[in-house]
Amino acid sequence: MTEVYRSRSKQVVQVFMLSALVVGGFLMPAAAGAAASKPLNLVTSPLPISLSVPPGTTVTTDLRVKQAGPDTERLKVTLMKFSAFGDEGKPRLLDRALGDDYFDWVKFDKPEFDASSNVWQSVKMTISVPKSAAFGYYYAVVFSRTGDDKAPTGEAQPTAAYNGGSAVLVLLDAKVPNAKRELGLVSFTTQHRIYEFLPSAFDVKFKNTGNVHAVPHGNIFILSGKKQLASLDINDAQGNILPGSNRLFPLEWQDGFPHFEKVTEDGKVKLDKKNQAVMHMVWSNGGAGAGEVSPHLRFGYYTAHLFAVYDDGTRDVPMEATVGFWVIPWRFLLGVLLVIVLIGAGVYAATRGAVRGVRKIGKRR
Amino acid sequence: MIEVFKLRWPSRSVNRLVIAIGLTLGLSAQFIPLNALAAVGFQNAYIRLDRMKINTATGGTVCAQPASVATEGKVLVTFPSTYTVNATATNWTVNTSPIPAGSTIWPGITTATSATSPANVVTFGSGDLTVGILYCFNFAATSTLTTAVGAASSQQASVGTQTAASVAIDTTLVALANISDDQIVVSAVVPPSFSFTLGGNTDSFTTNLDPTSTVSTTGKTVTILTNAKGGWIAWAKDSQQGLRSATAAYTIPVAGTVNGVPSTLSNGVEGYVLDTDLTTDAVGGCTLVIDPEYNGIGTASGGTLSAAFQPIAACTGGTANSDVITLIERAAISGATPAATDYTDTITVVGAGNF
Repeated sequence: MTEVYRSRSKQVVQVFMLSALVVGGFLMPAAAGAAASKPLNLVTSPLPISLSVPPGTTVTTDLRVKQAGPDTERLKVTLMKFSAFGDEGKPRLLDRALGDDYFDWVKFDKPEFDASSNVWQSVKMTISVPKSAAFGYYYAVVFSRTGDDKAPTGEAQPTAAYNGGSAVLVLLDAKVPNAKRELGLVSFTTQHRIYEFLPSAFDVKFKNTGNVHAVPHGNIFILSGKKQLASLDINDAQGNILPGSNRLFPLEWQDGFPHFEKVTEDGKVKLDKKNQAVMHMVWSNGGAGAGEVSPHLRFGYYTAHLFAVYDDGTRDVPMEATVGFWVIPWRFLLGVLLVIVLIGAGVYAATRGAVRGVRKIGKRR
Repeated sequence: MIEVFKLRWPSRSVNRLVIAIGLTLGLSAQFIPLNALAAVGFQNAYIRLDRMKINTATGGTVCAQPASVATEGKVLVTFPSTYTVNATATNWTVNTSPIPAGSTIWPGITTATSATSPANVVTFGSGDLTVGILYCFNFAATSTLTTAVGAASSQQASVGTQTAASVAIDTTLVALANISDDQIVVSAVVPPSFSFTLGGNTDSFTTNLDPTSTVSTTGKTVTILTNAKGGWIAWAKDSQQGLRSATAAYTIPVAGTVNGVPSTLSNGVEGYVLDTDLTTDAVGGCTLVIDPEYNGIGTASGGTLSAAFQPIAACTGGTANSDVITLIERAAISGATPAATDYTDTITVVGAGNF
């Protein structure tokens, strides 16, 4: 009797548990198996690192990374390379390709590590540069969260997964005697020949025709006749141009009264439907002249004289070019002309009327 | 007791005389003006020099709270003998702004009328002061006072007031000190840094994919801050160039080619693209531009995802203070697209400070 009772109560419990599982399974949302979308916040330092060592030596540099999320995350280090491509020298990030033996020169002391919230981690990157090395090698060290490269599962809807990463770019120059540091000025242009008001925009394009990265810098001098009005810095960020690639440096001369400026709202540049900045006219000096009381009226023909240099390893090599442009506030001038014409027409009509009146009176007499 | 008294004052007349003299003196004292008394100290007085560093030219502030009723005409400041006082009185100009909180502008204060060295006494003109009020003025730092050559504490100085006829009113001794250096150089390092925030690591389509419409994901933001003067760059690559279902063994392919122009999806035609929206180009830094390939227009276009990294956005010409781009996937299917619940894709997004 007791055995029967125990057996039945066991069956009741089993049936109850099975029912609970089945019912629970139906009630559970379809996406319950899906992991919540998790943000990733990485801060890396320093910014592009330039290393210059002779072949046959080893160099070590510290890369620092901090993940600013609330939880401890496991981060990994991935080695990639970068280059520049296209007419404007767009930066390109690349995975290792066949023949990229220089990836093997690099070792990290921590290829994977736990990163506590808001704690800087230091990762040592050691590059053993062989004696056969020469010229430039361009690494991108990417920090990312482990596991983010796997496709998500159990999502209710089709889902895209993001594997986010922050890269530190490392430019390695294996110094050899036959290194060729050479830049050429491809073009120096103004975006328009005639501007109604400033800013006037210039594009400076250099090409690296050597085999090592190089940094151009210099100025564009804006002249009215022989009088210098402004000086614009070219590449004040000290950006590099990689071998065999171009790089475009856009510059603007804004110091004019009035001038156009981007419209801003709540700390943001206001954009139109085509993602272009909305501009408005500002009745004060712009750029370097902002804050000066006397208006910097711009009208007439101006020349922009480019003077830039780069270091070829032994001396500064100069590059020069000049381009001319007009600033003609044509709508303002048309308005003035229209007013003059209207006044002239009025005076003419009034004079003519008066003359006719005098003649009529003369005829009557 | 009486016996003792008698011993000290043997004569009653002498006793009376003493009492009379005492009463007379006491009554007379009531009619003697206070300013005829010897000078007393201020209720409060101090000299606060602008610099405490040794052998340094300095100006300062003189404050005093009178204790005696009188008509002031001068204020005399005597500096320690170890200090150097410039004897050109006209150098000792004064001003009354700023003065310490709670104090009152010293009335009638004027440029020094005399400055003596090595006595180190500087005399300024003063208006009448009221007892109990703290008055202050400043004296100039140029060619006036130079602190002692050696560091020392408690070097005696004084502040005093006099009538126009040079009768002393209040005088208080004050202590001045010198130290080898009185300034702290504050230095700080702002390291170059690049902050990359991805709003989430998954992004689901808002509804099931449908042959009659183009469906998009909610979108995930990428926020970038950097003090790199050259700005920043972001790239994206795709794991399988489409939305892949393992169970159906089928991939909804990417649309178009990487050609610098976004591709537009058509309802009923399979396609998958990445649209990158410019959400915030933060003021005062670099100019943010979405790569033309990924700068989709409307809700049915975007760029072609590739197995190789492609630039999706770049900001040039300065630093970035919270630039934001939003990544949105868009997909269209045909009626023949195999049914499955596990269509997924993994997009790798990498950002970096420009080189």
